[in-house]
Amino acid sequence: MKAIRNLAGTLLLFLLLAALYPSVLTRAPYDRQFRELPDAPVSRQFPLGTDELGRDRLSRLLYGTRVSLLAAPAAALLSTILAALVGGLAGFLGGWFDRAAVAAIDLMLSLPWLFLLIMVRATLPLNLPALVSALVTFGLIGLLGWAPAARIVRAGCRTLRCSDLVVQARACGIRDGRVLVKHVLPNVRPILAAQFRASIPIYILAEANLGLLGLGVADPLPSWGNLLRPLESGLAPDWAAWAPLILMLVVVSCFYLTQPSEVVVR
Amino acid sequence: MKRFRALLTLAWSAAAATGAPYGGELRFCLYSEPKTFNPLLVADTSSEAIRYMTAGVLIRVNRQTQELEPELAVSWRVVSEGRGMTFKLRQHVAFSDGTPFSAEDVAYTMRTLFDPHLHAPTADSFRGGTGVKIDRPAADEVTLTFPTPVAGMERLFDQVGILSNKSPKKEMASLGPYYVARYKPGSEVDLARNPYYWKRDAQGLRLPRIDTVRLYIQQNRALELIRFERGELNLMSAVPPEIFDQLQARMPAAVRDLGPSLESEMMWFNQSPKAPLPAYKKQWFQSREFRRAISAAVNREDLCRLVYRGHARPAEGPISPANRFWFNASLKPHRYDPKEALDGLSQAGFRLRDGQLYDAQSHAVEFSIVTNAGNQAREKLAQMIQQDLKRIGIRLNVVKLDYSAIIDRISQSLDYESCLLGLTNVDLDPDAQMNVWLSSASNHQWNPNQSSPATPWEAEIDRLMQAQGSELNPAKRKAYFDRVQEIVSQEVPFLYLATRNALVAVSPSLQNANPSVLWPHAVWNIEMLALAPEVSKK
Amino acid sequence: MNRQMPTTEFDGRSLTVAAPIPRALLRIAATALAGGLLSAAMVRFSPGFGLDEQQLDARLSRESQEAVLRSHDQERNPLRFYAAWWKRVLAGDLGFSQSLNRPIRELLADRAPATLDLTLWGMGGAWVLAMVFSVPVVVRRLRRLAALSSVFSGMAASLPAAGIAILLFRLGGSAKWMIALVLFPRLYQYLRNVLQQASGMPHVLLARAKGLRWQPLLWRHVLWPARAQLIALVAVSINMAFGAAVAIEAICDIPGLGQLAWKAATARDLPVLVVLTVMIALVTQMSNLVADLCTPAVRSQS
Repeated sequence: MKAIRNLAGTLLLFLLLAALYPSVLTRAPYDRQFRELPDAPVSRQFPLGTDELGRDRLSRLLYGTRVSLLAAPAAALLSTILAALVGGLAGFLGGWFDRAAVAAIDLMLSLPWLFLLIMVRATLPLNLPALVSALVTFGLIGLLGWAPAARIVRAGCRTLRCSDLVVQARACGIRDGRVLVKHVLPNVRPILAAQFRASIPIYILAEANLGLLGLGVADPLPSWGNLLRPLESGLAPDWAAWAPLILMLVVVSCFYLTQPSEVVVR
Repeated sequence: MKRFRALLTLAWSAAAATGAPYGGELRFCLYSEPKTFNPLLVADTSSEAIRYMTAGVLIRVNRQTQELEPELAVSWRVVSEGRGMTFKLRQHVAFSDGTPFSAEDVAYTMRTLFDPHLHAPTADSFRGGTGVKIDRPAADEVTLTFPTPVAGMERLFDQVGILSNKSPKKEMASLGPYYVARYKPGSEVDLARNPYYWKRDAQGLRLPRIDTVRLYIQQNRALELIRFERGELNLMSAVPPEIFDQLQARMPAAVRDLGPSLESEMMWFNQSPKAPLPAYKKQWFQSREFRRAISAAVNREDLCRLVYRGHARPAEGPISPANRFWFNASLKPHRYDPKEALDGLSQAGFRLRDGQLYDAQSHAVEFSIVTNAGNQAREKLAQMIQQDLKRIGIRLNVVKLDYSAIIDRISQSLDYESCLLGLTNVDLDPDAQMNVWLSSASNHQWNPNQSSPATPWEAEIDRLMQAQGSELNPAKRKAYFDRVQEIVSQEVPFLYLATRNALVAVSPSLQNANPSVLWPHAVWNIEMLALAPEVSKK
Repeated sequence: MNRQMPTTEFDGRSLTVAAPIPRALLRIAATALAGGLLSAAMVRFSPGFGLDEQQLDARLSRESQEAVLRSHDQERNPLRFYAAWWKRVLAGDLGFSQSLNRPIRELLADRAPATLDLTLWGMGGAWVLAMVFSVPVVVRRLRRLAALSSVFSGMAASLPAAGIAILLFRLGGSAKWMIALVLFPRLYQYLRNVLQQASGMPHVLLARAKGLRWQPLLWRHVLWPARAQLIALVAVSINMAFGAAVAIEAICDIPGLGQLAWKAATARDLPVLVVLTVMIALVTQMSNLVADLCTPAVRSQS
């Protein structure tokens, strides 16, 4: 198992480096359209062929990996932190804060956030740089995705609130803030880790769906989400067209394989 | 009634025995939920499809010949100097529930249609229909007189489904080949054969041949393809090009590229002075040289070849070559010539520096184009145009919005710079586009609701459109509209990009299919369609 | 703090019921009310509200286009609309959908069974899959299965819903499996980590060392102590299932509430969206209330 974990970690590192330095593997810019060569098969010039507009698939895949591999985990981290804060405080403090937080969480889960996203798009300037559009998209996803995990974190913290662990800590005079940070939240770390890991592929796909609302990474900057959308119809000219999906499966699997198998309870 | 039905069944069986197949269920998809079954209130495509198959009309536009044919009216004449029409009605016709059809039904339909509170698109097409006068000069005649002449009036009756004045089923009683038998919301609509349908085939046998039509409500084209390949569907309309090519490889006998349809893609710039845009951008968009340069910079051949996989052609103007009478054959698509584009821009004061174009005030030429998200073809078009403009130093930002947000920007807030959308002409006559060409109209997309024409050429278009709208002579009307098309080609308020081909897939089990480039494509002659005997028996 | 709380006896331990029920119900009602109003405001002020694709129909006269705009006049003030809507709801009328041209009550009655069927089966399938993969991993410490489960869960999370739909459709599978496949990765991750934490407790290690069989170990010493989080996860999965149903019904053209929500959202159909928001708020909160009621505030972890 350790060997598998190491292999997965190495593969992830390699992919990240390849995404950060794509010019090592391909010279074609990701947006250049070789219009005489649409849907070209795999060749030395185009190791993964070209897409329907004649763009180098490998170049687009590497640049897309950079966007998604950096932005999606950042968004997942944001939602995890928010879940920890809100759920942790609510479960630990109890009382009116807990009730208010629960109401807020339930509202978050019930409201049609589609319209908030549409309104955000409406307020953004039309001429938005592609990178900014990527940051805004993933930022929004992170800001809106914390509610389910917060609920579970809250449940865990409520249980821990009355545990011997916490009672003893308080009896020793340790302040609530320190008890929360040092003793309670670490014990809900597995939930937070689960939230973080589960969110990454979901957020990558969510970015593609946000494209239907005008958010999403703006053209011609690629992302895994917008590279996967043409595959949704199940029609692809050849196996190389499935490369974004295969890569995403590999990366997410590696990510999951690198998680530690044992959880230590403090 | 029971004896009548038994006789009918016997007749159909006899016909089947002679080899002309009868029976079976035709199955295909609607791509959205129909909003209404009332023929007068139809405004969406799915409801129109159902209306076409169920409602009886006085005059039908033959989708193959594009000529007018008698339906419930055996003859008609234009009267009152083009302000009216008198119809002589077919006799011994009944609705699907047996209620007899009469002139009173036509009168009732017209009174309902032109009720000022109804606001039906069909009624508005008559322009001034609310003042219609309805007379009954004879028992089998109806005369309609409008306050002003209505150009091309006859073809408008192709969209007016006749309602029954007396039937207890109200608008659900139909005069067409089918009637709506069952509706499962969100899922399917079942049409059943109208036992009283008046039309007969060449052998004198009653039509339609197919017993029932099942319309599945299915938006997902990929799932539709799978079902077609499995034989669960008998036809597909408006097939996307990539799906068409896949089907062509797997079922070559089933697919048909019918050539240019009436649908095209176009883009335009926001020329409204009220738009919340910087003044220098308004100046660009209002400059003819700028628009012509952008048009010359776009490679239409590549758009057709790559986005539509060759199933499209560069567009010449607002009228497709599929529209035989109104197409202006002297017009040519704008030629792709980046050098000509740069020359034109330089004459207008623009300069190219280090790969970036600047205007005379040194503003970098950068603007956005909005298009509707979810339409993959349009997204690809935008990306290709982005690359084409990059070659002449222009930075184009593609903004994909949901459809409602686009409508808001282009019709209400006017907060957009350029827009890429499609044009669908159901009606052959350009008079239906009056609200696009008149400068005072709300659909005058590039600069709507003008109190007076902003430019001489828009004033000229106004004059020409009004002239063709009140002219009865088709040749003169064509001359007027040809001139409108020429002005549009010169001034480029719309950049016409590509005219899409009509792509359909028809199962080999469907007989007598003769799909047309005009909507509804494969089912325009639904009463004549038949299913192969082994399919009929299922 | 030494407040008197109602208690019940259960399995020899005392449980403290988490919150008085009437107060919780009041809170639920208030939150649902607030949710409906917020939803109304968000829809009302979103771009494209009150507009229709008929605006682009060149056949329509100016008067007709203005009539289309006027048909939404009653919805332009969200407060007024909301108050009037509640008045009608209390009289049994849920309103009318302009975009679909049908009474909302009929729409809900037609579509609710499909969604209930889909979400219940989908949730059940997801939980079964998650339990099947996570329990052996945790209790029997099967590391290879852990690796395989992680990979399978990662693959399921990475597949776009539309792609899964096409694949299942080709194989003749049901959309219920889609919900299960969409929910499974998240459930598995949470479940596995929660169970892993529970199984890492000292008393479990002791029980294992003493040779306790895996069944009583699982039920008494792993699942039972983690019940608070598991119950919360069940409640949250109801909401996740509906969220997944929206996407899946839209992709597979299943005429359920999820498809209705998507169509109403794209058409800015305010009455439908308010009804759905209030319904989802009530269902979400009721399920969370049940979860809270079952959550013990235990005095001891053993």
